Amino acid sequence: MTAARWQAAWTVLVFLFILTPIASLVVFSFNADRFPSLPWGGFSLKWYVAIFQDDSVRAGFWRSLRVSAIVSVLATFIGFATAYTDYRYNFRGKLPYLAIAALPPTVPVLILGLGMLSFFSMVNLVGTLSAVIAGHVVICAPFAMALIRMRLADMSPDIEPAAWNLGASRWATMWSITIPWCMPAILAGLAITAAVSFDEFMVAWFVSGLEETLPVRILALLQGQVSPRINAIGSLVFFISITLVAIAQVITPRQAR
Amino acid sequence: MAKPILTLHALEKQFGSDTALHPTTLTVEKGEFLAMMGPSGCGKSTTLRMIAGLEAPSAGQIRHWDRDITNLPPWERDMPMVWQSYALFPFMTVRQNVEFGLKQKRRHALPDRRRKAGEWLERLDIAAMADRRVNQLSGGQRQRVALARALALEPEILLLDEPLSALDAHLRLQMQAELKRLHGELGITFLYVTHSQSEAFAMADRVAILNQGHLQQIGSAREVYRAPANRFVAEFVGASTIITGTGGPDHRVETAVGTFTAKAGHPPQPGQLATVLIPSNAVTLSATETGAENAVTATFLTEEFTGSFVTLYLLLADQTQMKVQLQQSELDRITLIPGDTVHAHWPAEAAYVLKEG
Ligand SMILES: Nc1ncnc2c1ncn2[C@@H]1O[C@H](COP(=O)(O)OP(=O)(O)O)[C@@H](O)[C@H]1O
Ligand SMILES: [Mg+2]
Repeated sequence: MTAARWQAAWTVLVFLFILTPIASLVVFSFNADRFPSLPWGGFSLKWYVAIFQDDSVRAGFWRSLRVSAIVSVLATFIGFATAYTDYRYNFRGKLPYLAIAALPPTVPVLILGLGMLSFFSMVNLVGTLSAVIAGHVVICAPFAMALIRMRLADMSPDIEPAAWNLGASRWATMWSITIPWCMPAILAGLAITAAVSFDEFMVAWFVSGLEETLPVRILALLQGQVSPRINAIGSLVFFISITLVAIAQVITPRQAR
Repeated sequence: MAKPILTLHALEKQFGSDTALHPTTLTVEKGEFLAMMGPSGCGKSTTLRMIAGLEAPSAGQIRHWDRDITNLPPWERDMPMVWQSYALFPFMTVRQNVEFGLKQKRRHALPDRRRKAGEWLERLDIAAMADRRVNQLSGGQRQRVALARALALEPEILLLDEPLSALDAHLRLQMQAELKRLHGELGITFLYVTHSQSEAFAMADRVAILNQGHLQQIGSAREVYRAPANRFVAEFVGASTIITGTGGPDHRVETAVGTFTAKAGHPPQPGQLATVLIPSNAVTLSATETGAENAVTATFLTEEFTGSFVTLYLLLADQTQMKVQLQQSELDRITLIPGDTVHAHWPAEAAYVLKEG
């Protein structure tokens, strides 16, 4: 076999290794049998019906959806603002400013979660959805910033001055030139941050209290009993996340001009 | 003299410890075509950007008629600019680009905008591509869009920063003619930055020559050709051979390649450094020694044909390169192959002595 063939075979193997658990999760979520074992007990939607009838799961699902919608808007806004200040202005302390803005994803989530727990308890926010949202915004904003920063780097430095020169104020230029130029990255940022927030577990687990988000609910279920309902929830979460990521992937700006 | 439309008064720009423009004062007359030229990095763009309000001066003042606009933001000035990079809005169509200023600056309603933009698209011969995106256009077409976008505002002053430098030679000449024609038709004041002296001389009423942030000379092309202010200008214009020597009595200058009489320009001071310019079109060549005054013996290097002219390059005994411009017809009298010895002479009235100090 040639090197290329080995490489192809190896790639297939790695993907099989990664995807098999997910595939089995999806497959067994439609299994009529109680236990995830072969032979296959027949196709059924009963586990999906079961989770939709479980109030705690439904509540968690809606909470997660709400949180991720709000987080994606806030995080993308902050990401845009950070990326734009980096693009447009030079100021003392810019490097530390950018480092801090990009930092959160590099901190272990356990540490981040603990830190937020102790901070939110000081300001009496523990157990509220606001705490989850704030925590997720911190984690998500750097992703949006990175995407938008990449897009801005491709914008000719003469474009905004050209708009000012033609009579557009800073605001008018922002709306008519800068934001339209960044739109693909902004949309990708919205999708990515929504995906990250939707299945984020650690921070939510620390600070959500009784306001459980879906991933937190899943863990609670797992600790109780192993039920094929887990497979159904897992499949749903997986599809929502992967859809958001796929959207982000499709609209992520390429080297296009 | 009429009141100037634009005045730069002791205008100055520093970037940290680098000076891009030393204090510079100049005035621009309404309707004139002023070219600012100089080598790359001499501060031309910086000056233009300060006029447009895109760069804050370190000191000095900019006046539009009587109004001090030094601290006015760019969107409140009325001086659209044509950029070297074109700076078109990439996600917009040609038409939207041209309408941009009409919408933002003139606040025209959509029908007016459409009509006015349409007129300029016609005028610049790009109406056929009005609905294309600008990234589907060639360089020459983009250039026209950039021009239409700026001119659609019908401003009093148009700023142009090396607008032709990205075009190929043929297109450049064509656009030069077109710019010159537009300038004549519109009566708009053009402030044109370029590093190309041929471009500047081909179009401008007056040229301002900059070097390392210092204004060297400002005047008509004719003045700058005839009476360059200093050695830099003479070299930049490139119309003469430059020989240095020591001044003597009676307009005489002693140099390493002979003693010459130079009656134009500033009389050489006895015993002082004297720089003589010999216009390349004032030199006569002959195969044999003529016994004329102001003669040198040289080695023929090479020749360059441009239109009906030919430029010959000679090497003098002290390794100075001499430039001689002849009509092609004059070349028939004399056949030269590289390495030949040739005799050159010129009239004393044509040799120009620079002002020293
Ligand atoms: N934003 C800037 N920061 C620092 N130096 C600059 C900046 N813009 C221009 N310069 C410097 O100022 C000088 C003049 O630049 P510029 O006006 O662009 O020259 P030109 O247009 O004549 O080629 C150059 O030495 C350039 O490096
Ligand atoms: Mg320049």
